[in-house]
Amino acid sequence: MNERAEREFREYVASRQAVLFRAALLLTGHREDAEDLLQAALSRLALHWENVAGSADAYVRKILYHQQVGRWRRRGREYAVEALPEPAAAPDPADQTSLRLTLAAVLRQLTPRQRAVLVLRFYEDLPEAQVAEILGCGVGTVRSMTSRTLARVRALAPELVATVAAS
Amino acid sequence: MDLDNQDRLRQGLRELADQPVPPGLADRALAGSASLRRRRRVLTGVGALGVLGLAGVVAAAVMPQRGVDVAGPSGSTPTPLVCQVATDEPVPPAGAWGDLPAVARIVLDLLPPRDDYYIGYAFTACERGGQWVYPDGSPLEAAEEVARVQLRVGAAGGTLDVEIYRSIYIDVPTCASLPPTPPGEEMLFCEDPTDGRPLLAGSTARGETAVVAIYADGRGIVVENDIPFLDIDLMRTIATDPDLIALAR
Repeated sequence: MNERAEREFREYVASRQAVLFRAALLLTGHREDAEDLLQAALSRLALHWENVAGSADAYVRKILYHQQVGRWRRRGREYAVEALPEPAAAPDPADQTSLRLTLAAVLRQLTPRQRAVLVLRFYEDLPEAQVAEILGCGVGTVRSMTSRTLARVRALAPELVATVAAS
Repeated sequence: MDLDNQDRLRQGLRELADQPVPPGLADRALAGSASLRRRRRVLTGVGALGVLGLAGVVAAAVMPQRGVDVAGPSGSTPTPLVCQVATDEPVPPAGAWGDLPAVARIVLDLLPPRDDYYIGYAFTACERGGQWVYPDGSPLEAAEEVARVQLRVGAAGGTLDVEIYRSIYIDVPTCASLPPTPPGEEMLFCEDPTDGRPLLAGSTARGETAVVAIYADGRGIVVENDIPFLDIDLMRTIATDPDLIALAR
């Protein structure tokens, strides 16, 4: 990588690292794992930077999600998230804390592919077509996976729905 | 789930993800890309099968049959391989390594004793129904590692990554056949293969050192390290360990 390309790469990482890291954190549920995952994705991005600089976001997202979904290669099993991300800052109102804990518990019980769909659709707010492109499947598959994942969330956390209904 | 609940879900995800970003991501990514580049250079430069679809066909022509004692290191006794995996766990005391994957046990035996080794992940693939598979039953492709361990030391003491490959190469490489070292990477040594000993090459880039051993039958070990107290001699020892390469029989 020449100097100019390296400078551009660094600028890209500086501008996008927060969004990408937070997506990785939701995917893995574990800060160190999120760092590992994002670093691996960014390393591959750096390797191909001069060819993909114009579509870096799409490229790195694809790597990020595929690496996480295909994590069995590194982990050897379809595993659930092992630890909750720590709350970010000062204590929140009780209902917000409760929501976070409930969601963290739900994420732990989703498969990597379900978590990927959830994060892409409801954290990154990407349209179904883009999710389909990232995950390498059809829009219909994304739709059915989303539906199944939401049903699973509902089944795992009825209190989440109840909380919302009450509020 | 109605729209209100979906909004609540979005809000919850945003709050859950609201974490400070770790420093140095770009630096580490650039170092990682140098490592990937080096590995790719070694793998492609000597005629790697890589992920080619015809790998099986070519391999069948040039590789020994599974289960046949090949011309690799001597002195190792193949034992039935069981699928093993370990993730995110401190290494237990030396007497309690029984549950660790074989690759982790063997590497730990070669390292100086410490009480702060930590397994990032480790696995040993296995044969099941005549096919090599990962511990979850997924098939192993030709160019993928058959066993691997990533060890860390202490909180931030670096990482040792050891990967064992079963059938990557078509041709036995020589030092002369290796492609030129790219800018930013320094070749530390290269020793041509001799009777029973692999080609052994070491290089360094961006503070990380790698030693690659390639055996005459196509098996190989890649050792990457940035733990300061693990020197190049120890990396050579790991890369040429007969019990490790026996995992890729």
